[in-house]
Amino acid sequence: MSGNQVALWYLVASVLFILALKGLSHPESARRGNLFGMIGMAIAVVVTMAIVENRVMIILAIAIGGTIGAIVSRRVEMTQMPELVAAMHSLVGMAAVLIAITAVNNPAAFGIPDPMPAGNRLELFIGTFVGAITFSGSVIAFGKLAGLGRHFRLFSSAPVVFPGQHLLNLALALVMIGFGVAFFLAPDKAWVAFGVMTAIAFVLGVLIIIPIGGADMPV
Amino acid sequence: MTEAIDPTVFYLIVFVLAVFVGYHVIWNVTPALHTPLMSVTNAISSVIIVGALLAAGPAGGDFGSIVGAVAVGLAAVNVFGGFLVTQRMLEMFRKKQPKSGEKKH
Repeated sequence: MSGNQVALWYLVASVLFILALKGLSHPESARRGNLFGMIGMAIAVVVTMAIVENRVMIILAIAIGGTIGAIVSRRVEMTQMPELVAAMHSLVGMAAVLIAITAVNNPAAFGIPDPMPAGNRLELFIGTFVGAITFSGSVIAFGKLAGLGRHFRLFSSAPVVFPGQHLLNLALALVMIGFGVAFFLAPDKAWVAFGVMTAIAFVLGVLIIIPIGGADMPV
Repeated sequence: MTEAIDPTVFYLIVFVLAVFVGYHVIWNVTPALHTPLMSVTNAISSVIIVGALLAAGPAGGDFGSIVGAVAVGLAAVNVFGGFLVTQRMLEMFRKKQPKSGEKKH
C-alpha cells in the first residue's frame, strides 16, 4: 500500500472519529457514534498493520492488551466506570512516552533523519511531556475516584495542598521546559535532557492533580 | 508561485482546523452525556496505537520494537476497553422497553 493510500485511509478514520464525537451529542445518535469510533479505529489499525513488518509480535501484543481491556470493561461495576476510564487513560499516556523513547532511540523507524531535526524534536518534547503528565495525572485521578486515599495519601479525595505548591509547580514546569529547550537545540540524541524532562513531567502530573478534589475528577 | 510548501505547514493547517472542529463538535453535548463523552474521547485517544505500531514495526527484536510492542499492548487495552466501557454507559440511555424485569447494573 502506498503512503498516499495509507494517508487517505487515515482521513477516512479521522472523519469517522469526528462523526463519533458528533454522535455523542444526542442520546439517539450516541450509540451509533460509538460504533463509528470503533470502525475508524479498526481502519486505522488495519491500514497501519499493512505497512509494518513485525506483525507476529504486534498481533500478540494486541491480543493480550485487547483481551485485558475487554475483560476488565465487562466485569467492572457501573459505579466504578469513571475510575476505570482514568486508569485506562493512564495507559495511553504511558504509550505516548514509550513511543517517544523509541523515536529518540531509532528515528529511522519513523522515517526521520538521524540526528533529528528541530521540528521533530519539538514534537517529541511535547508528545512526551503531555504523555507523562497524562500518565501520572490519570493514575492519581484513578486513585482519588476509587477512594484509595486510606492506602496512599496522594490518592486522598480531599485536596492535597501545601504551602508554596503553585510556586513549586511553576518552577518545575520552567525547569522541564528548560530541559526541553536543551533537547530541542542539541545536535545529538541528548538522552539526558530528554530523560530529565520526562521525569519532571511525571512528577508534575502528580503535583497538578493532587490539589483537585475527588468530586472534580473528570479533569 | 513556484516555491514548494513545507509539509510542516500542512500539518499545522490540519492541527488548527482540527482544533476548531473539536471545539464545535463538543460544545453542544448535553450534560447527561458528559461521562460517556469522556469515555469515548478516551477511547479515540488510543489511536496512538498507530504510533506504537510504527515504533514496533521494524523487523527484528531490538529495543525499539520491544518497547513499541509494549506500547501497542497498553494502547490495545484502551482500544477495546475504551469503546466497550462507552457502550456500557450508553446502554443506560436506551429507551426502556416496558418489561417486568429490570436491568442489573
